[in-house]
Amino acid sequence: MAAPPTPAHVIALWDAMRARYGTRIVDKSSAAEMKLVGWFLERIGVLDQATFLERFTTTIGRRIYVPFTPGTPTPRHSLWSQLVICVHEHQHVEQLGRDGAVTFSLRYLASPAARAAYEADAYRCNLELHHWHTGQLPSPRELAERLRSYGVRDADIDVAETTLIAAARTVKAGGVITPASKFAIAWLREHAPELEHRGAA
Amino acid sequence: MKHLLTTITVATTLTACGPFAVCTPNETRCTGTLVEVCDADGQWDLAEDCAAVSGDEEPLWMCCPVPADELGPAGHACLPAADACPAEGE
Repeated sequence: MAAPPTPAHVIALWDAMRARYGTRIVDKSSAAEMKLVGWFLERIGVLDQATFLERFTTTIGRRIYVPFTPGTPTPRHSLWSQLVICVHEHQHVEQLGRDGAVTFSLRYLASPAARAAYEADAYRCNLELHHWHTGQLPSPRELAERLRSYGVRDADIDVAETTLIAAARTVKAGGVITPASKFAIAWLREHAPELEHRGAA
Repeated sequence: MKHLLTTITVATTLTACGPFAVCTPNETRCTGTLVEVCDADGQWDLAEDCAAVSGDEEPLWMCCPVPADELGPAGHACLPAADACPAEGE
Protein backbone atom coordinates (compact mmCIF):
# COMPACT_ATOMS: atom_id res chain seq x y z
CA MET A 1 0.00 0.00 0.00
CA ALA A 2 1.31 3.43 -0.91
CA ALA A 3 1.92 6.21 1.61
CA PRO A 4 -0.78 8.87 1.91
CA PRO A 5 0.07 12.34 0.61
CA THR A 6 1.19 15.05 3.01
CA PRO A 7 0.19 18.71 2.87
CA ALA A 8 3.66 19.47 1.47
CA HIS A 9 3.09 17.05 -1.43
CA VAL A 10 -0.21 18.71 -2.29
CA ILE A 11 1.16 22.24 -2.14
CA ALA A 12 4.24 21.30 -4.18
CA LEU A 13 2.26 19.54 -6.93
CA TRP A 14 -0.14 22.48 -7.25
CA ASP A 15 2.88 24.80 -7.46
CA ALA A 16 4.55 22.62 -10.09
CA MET A 17 1.43 22.40 -12.25
CA ARG A 18 0.67 26.08 -11.89
CA ALA A 19 4.18 26.83 -13.09
CA ARG A 20 3.89 24.34 -15.97
CA TYR A 21 0.51 25.63 -17.20
CA GLY A 22 0.63 29.28 -16.14
CA THR A 23 -2.51 28.92 -14.02
CA ARG A 24 -3.68 30.83 -10.98
CA ILE A 25 -5.61 29.54 -7.97
CA VAL A 26 -8.56 31.64 -6.79
CA ASP A 27 -10.52 31.10 -3.57
CA LYS A 28 -13.92 30.18 -4.95
CA SER A 29 -15.93 31.24 -1.91
CA SER A 30 -14.73 34.84 -2.11
CA ALA A 31 -14.86 35.24 -5.90
CA ALA A 32 -17.76 37.51 -6.90
CA GLU A 33 -17.90 35.99 -10.40
CA MET A 34 -18.37 32.50 -8.91
CA LYS A 35 -21.19 33.74 -6.68
CA LEU A 36 -22.82 35.12 -9.80
CA VAL A 37 -22.40 31.82 -11.67
CA GLY A 38 -23.75 29.95 -8.64
CA TRP A 39 -26.75 32.25 -8.47
CA PHE A 40 -27.40 31.68 -12.19
CA LEU A 41 -27.09 27.88 -11.90
CA GLU A 42 -29.54 27.93 -9.00
CA ARG A 43 -31.98 30.08 -10.99
CA ILE A 44 -31.97 27.69 -13.95
CA GLY A 45 -32.34 24.70 -11.62
CA VAL A 46 -29.01 22.97 -12.30
CA LEU A 47 -27.76 23.03 -8.69
CA ASP A 48 -27.96 25.30 -5.69
CA GLN A 49 -25.43 28.09 -5.17
CA ALA A 50 -24.00 26.71 -1.90
CA THR A 51 -23.32 23.30 -3.44
CA PHE A 52 -21.65 24.92 -6.43
CA LEU A 53 -19.42 27.08 -4.22
CA GLU A 54 -18.54 24.44 -1.62
CA ARG A 55 -18.20 21.24 -3.62
CA PHE A 56 -17.12 22.04 -7.16
CA THR A 57 -13.80 23.28 -8.47
CA THR A 58 -14.24 25.42 -11.58
CA THR A 59 -11.67 26.32 -14.20
CA ILE A 60 -12.20 29.31 -16.46
CA GLY A 61 -9.32 29.98 -18.80
CA ARG A 62 -6.23 29.70 -16.63
CA ARG A 63 -7.98 30.62 -13.39
CA ILE A 64 -8.83 27.67 -11.15
CA TYR A 65 -11.49 28.45 -8.54
CA VAL A 66 -11.03 26.02 -5.64
CA PRO A 67 -13.36 25.43 -2.66
CA PHE A 68 -10.41 24.50 -0.44
CA THR A 69 -6.89 25.65 0.39
CA PRO A 70 -4.41 23.23 -1.23
CA GLY A 71 -2.61 21.35 1.54
CA THR A 72 -5.38 21.84 4.10
CA PRO A 73 -7.64 18.77 4.19
CA THR A 74 -11.35 19.19 4.82
CA PRO A 75 -14.08 16.58 5.36
CA ARG A 76 -15.12 17.08 1.74
CA HIS A 77 -11.67 17.44 0.18
CA SER A 78 -9.00 15.05 1.43
CA LEU A 79 -5.35 15.66 0.55
CA TRP A 80 -5.50 12.93 -2.08
CA SER A 81 -8.63 14.39 -3.66
CA GLN A 82 -6.88 17.78 -3.77
CA LEU A 83 -4.05 16.17 -5.76
CA VAL A 84 -6.48 14.54 -8.17
CA ILE A 85 -8.47 17.76 -8.59
CA CYS A 86 -5.23 19.58 -9.42
CA VAL A 87 -4.53 17.19 -12.30
CA HIS A 88 -8.17 17.04 -13.47
CA GLU A 89 -8.46 20.83 -13.68
CA HIS A 90 -5.16 21.19 -15.49
CA GLN A 91 -6.40 18.70 -18.09
CA HIS A 92 -9.15 21.25 -18.80
CA VAL A 93 -6.39 23.80 -19.36
CA GLU A 94 -4.82 21.30 -21.80
CA GLN A 95 -8.16 21.12 -23.63
CA LEU A 96 -8.30 24.90 -23.79
CA GLY A 97 -4.83 25.02 -25.32
CA ARG A 98 -5.58 22.18 -27.73
CA ASP A 99 -8.93 23.45 -29.03
CA GLY A 100 -8.54 27.20 -28.52
CA ALA A 101 -10.45 29.31 -26.03
CA VAL A 102 -13.35 30.16 -28.32
CA THR A 103 -14.00 26.64 -29.60
CA PHE A 104 -13.55 25.10 -26.16
CA SER A 105 -15.88 27.57 -24.47
CA LEU A 106 -18.59 27.42 -27.12
CA ARG A 107 -18.57 23.62 -27.33
CA TYR A 108 -18.43 23.20 -23.54
CA LEU A 109 -21.35 25.54 -22.95
CA ALA A 110 -23.54 24.78 -25.98
CA SER A 111 -23.23 21.03 -26.51
CA PRO A 112 -24.03 18.45 -23.81
CA ALA A 113 -22.22 15.80 -25.86
CA ALA A 114 -19.10 17.94 -26.10
CA ARG A 115 -19.30 18.87 -22.41
CA ALA A 116 -19.53 15.20 -21.49
CA ALA A 117 -16.56 14.41 -23.74
CA TYR A 118 -14.43 17.16 -22.15
CA GLU A 119 -15.33 15.95 -18.67
CA ALA A 120 -14.77 12.29 -19.53
CA ASP A 121 -11.33 13.27 -20.80
CA ALA A 122 -10.59 15.07 -17.52
CA TYR A 123 -11.99 12.17 -15.47
CA ARG A 124 -9.42 9.98 -17.19
CA CYS A 125 -6.94 11.82 -14.95
CA ASN A 126 -8.84 10.61 -11.87
CA LEU A 127 -8.60 7.08 -13.21
CA GLU A 128 -4.89 7.37 -14.03
CA LEU A 129 -3.96 8.91 -10.68
CA HIS A 130 -6.06 6.41 -8.71
CA HIS A 131 -4.40 3.49 -10.50
CA TRP A 132 -0.92 4.96 -9.95
CA HIS A 133 -1.60 5.43 -6.23
CA THR A 134 -3.57 2.27 -5.41
CA GLY A 135 -3.00 -0.17 -8.28
CA GLN A 136 -6.80 -0.40 -8.56
CA LEU A 137 -9.15 0.97 -11.18
CA PRO A 138 -12.16 3.01 -10.08
CA SER A 139 -15.48 2.04 -11.64
CA PRO A 140 -15.90 3.78 -15.04
CA ARG A 141 -19.64 3.89 -14.38
CA GLU A 142 -19.22 5.67 -11.05
CA LEU A 143 -16.90 8.23 -12.63
CA ALA A 144 -19.32 8.76 -15.50
CA GLU A 145 -22.22 9.21 -13.07
CA ARG A 146 -20.46 12.30 -11.68
CA LEU A 147 -21.40 14.03 -14.92
CA ARG A 148 -25.01 14.22 -13.75
CA SER A 149 -24.11 17.52 -12.09
CA TYR A 150 -23.01 18.98 -15.42
CA GLY A 151 -26.39 19.23 -17.13
CA VAL A 152 -25.79 16.41 -19.59
CA ARG A 153 -28.24 13.77 -20.84
CA ASP A 154 -28.40 10.12 -19.78
CA ALA A 155 -27.10 9.16 -23.21
CA ASP A 156 -24.05 11.43 -22.71
CA ILE A 157 -23.30 9.67 -19.42
CA ASP A 158 -23.46 6.30 -21.17
CA VAL A 159 -21.00 7.54 -23.80
CA ALA A 160 -18.72 8.92 -21.08
CA GLU A 161 -18.75 5.48 -19.47
CA THR A 162 -17.75 3.90 -22.79
CA THR A 163 -14.88 6.39 -23.09
CA LEU A 164 -13.76 5.67 -19.52
CA ILE A 165 -13.94 1.90 -20.04
CA ALA A 166 -11.55 2.28 -23.01
CA ALA A 167 -9.29 4.44 -20.86
CA ALA A 168 -9.39 1.94 -17.98
CA ARG A 169 -8.23 -0.84 -20.30
CA THR A 170 -5.30 1.28 -21.45
CA VAL A 171 -4.38 2.29 -17.89
CA LYS A 172 -4.63 -1.32 -16.73
CA ALA A 173 -2.09 -2.21 -19.44
CA GLY A 174 0.29 0.40 -18.01
CA GLY A 175 -0.53 3.37 -20.22
CA VAL A 176 -1.04 7.01 -19.35
CA ILE A 177 -3.25 8.92 -21.77
CA THR A 178 -3.70 12.50 -20.62
CA PRO A 179 -0.93 15.10 -20.83
CA ALA A 180 -1.80 16.47 -17.37
CA SER A 181 -1.43 13.03 -15.78
CA LYS A 182 1.81 12.39 -17.65
CA PHE A 183 3.27 15.57 -16.17
CA ALA A 184 1.86 14.92 -12.69
CA ILE A 185 2.96 11.28 -12.51
CA ALA A 186 6.46 12.15 -13.73
CA TRP A 187 6.62 14.88 -11.09
CA LEU A 188 5.27 12.59 -8.36
CA ARG A 189 7.71 9.81 -9.26
CA GLU A 190 10.55 12.25 -8.88
CA HIS A 191 9.37 14.13 -5.79
CA ALA A 192 7.00 11.75 -3.97
CA PRO A 193 7.77 8.17 -5.10
CA GLU A 194 6.37 6.81 -1.83
CA LEU A 195 2.87 7.68 -3.07
CA GLU A 196 3.06 5.08 -5.86
CA HIS A 197 1.48 1.75 -5.05
CA ARG A 198 4.06 -0.85 -4.06
CA GLY A 199 3.08 -3.40 -6.66
CA ALA A 200 4.21 -1.00 -9.38
CA ALA A 201 6.86 -2.08 -11.85
CA MET B 1 -30.08 35.56 -56.78
CA LYS B 2 -32.84 32.98 -56.52
CA HIS B 3 -30.21 30.24 -56.54
CA LEU B 4 -28.29 32.02 -53.76
CA LEU B 5 -31.41 32.37 -51.59
CA THR B 6 -32.25 28.71 -52.12
CA THR B 7 -28.72 27.70 -51.14
CA ILE B 8 -28.80 29.85 -47.99
CA THR B 9 -32.22 28.50 -47.03
CA VAL B 10 -31.14 24.88 -47.47
CA ALA B 11 -27.87 25.48 -45.63
CA THR B 12 -29.65 27.23 -42.75
CA THR B 13 -32.20 24.44 -42.49
CA LEU B 14 -29.52 21.78 -42.43
CA THR B 15 -27.51 23.72 -39.84
CA ALA B 16 -30.58 24.26 -37.70
CA CYS B 17 -31.34 20.55 -37.78
CA GLY B 18 -27.78 19.73 -36.76
CA PRO B 19 -25.58 17.08 -38.31
CA PHE B 20 -27.14 13.78 -39.33
CA ALA B 21 -26.31 10.80 -37.15
CA VAL B 22 -23.63 8.67 -38.75
CA CYS B 23 -23.16 6.06 -36.02
CA THR B 24 -24.93 4.40 -33.12
CA PRO B 25 -24.25 6.00 -29.71
CA ASN B 26 -21.68 4.05 -27.64
CA GLU B 27 -20.33 2.26 -30.70
CA THR B 28 -16.51 2.29 -30.81
CA ARG B 29 -14.01 1.79 -33.63
CA CYS B 30 -10.35 2.10 -34.56
CA THR B 31 -9.31 4.63 -37.17
CA GLY B 32 -5.59 4.14 -37.55
CA THR B 33 -4.10 4.83 -34.12
CA LEU B 34 -7.27 6.54 -32.92
CA VAL B 35 -9.96 5.06 -30.70
CA GLU B 36 -13.24 6.73 -31.59
CA VAL B 37 -16.53 6.63 -29.69
CA CYS B 38 -19.92 7.46 -31.16
CA ASP B 39 -21.41 10.25 -29.07
CA ALA B 40 -25.03 10.69 -28.03
CA ASP B 41 -25.70 12.81 -31.14
CA GLY B 42 -24.52 10.02 -33.42
CA GLN B 43 -21.18 11.60 -34.34
CA TRP B 44 -17.77 9.96 -34.14
CA ASP B 45 -15.60 11.60 -31.48
CA LEU B 46 -11.95 11.02 -30.66
CA ALA B 47 -11.56 9.09 -27.41
CA GLU B 48 -7.85 8.21 -27.38
CA ASP B 49 -4.88 8.71 -29.65
CA CYS B 50 -2.78 5.60 -29.11
CA ALA B 51 0.26 7.33 -30.63
CA ALA B 52 0.21 9.70 -27.66
CA VAL B 53 -0.12 7.06 -24.92
CA SER B 54 2.97 6.56 -22.79
CA GLY B 55 3.90 3.60 -20.64
CA ASP B 56 6.73 2.62 -18.30
CA GLU B 57 8.85 1.21 -21.07
CA GLU B 58 7.56 3.53 -23.78
CA PRO B 59 6.23 0.75 -26.00
CA LEU B 60 4.29 1.49 -29.14
CA TRP B 61 0.56 1.50 -28.49
CA MET B 62 -2.06 0.57 -31.01
CA CYS B 63 -5.85 0.61 -31.24
CA CYS B 64 -7.25 -2.87 -30.68
CA PRO B 65 -10.69 -4.47 -30.54
CA VAL B 66 -11.19 -5.74 -26.98
CA PRO B 67 -13.58 -8.45 -25.84
CA ALA B 68 -15.96 -7.95 -22.92
CA ASP B 69 -14.18 -8.15 -19.57
CA GLU B 70 -14.68 -7.11 -15.95
CA LEU B 71 -14.45 -3.44 -16.99
CA GLY B 72 -17.26 -3.51 -19.50
CA PRO B 73 -18.62 -4.78 -22.79
CA ALA B 74 -16.54 -5.41 -25.92
CA GLY B 75 -15.09 -2.27 -27.50
CA HIS B 76 -11.80 -0.75 -28.57
CA ALA B 77 -8.85 0.56 -26.58
CA CYS B 78 -5.18 1.51 -26.86
CA LEU B 79 -3.00 -1.45 -25.88
CA PRO B 80 0.75 -2.12 -26.10
CA ALA B 81 1.76 -3.13 -29.60
CA ALA B 82 3.89 -5.88 -28.12
CA ASP B 83 0.71 -7.66 -26.99
CA ALA B 84 -1.46 -9.12 -29.69
CA CYS B 85 -4.84 -7.43 -29.90
CA PRO B 86 -6.93 -9.83 -27.77
CA ALA B 87 -10.05 -9.77 -29.93
CA GLU B 88 -8.34 -9.48 -33.30
CA GLY B 89 -9.65 -11.90 -35.85
CA GLU B 90 -12.89 -12.51 -33.97
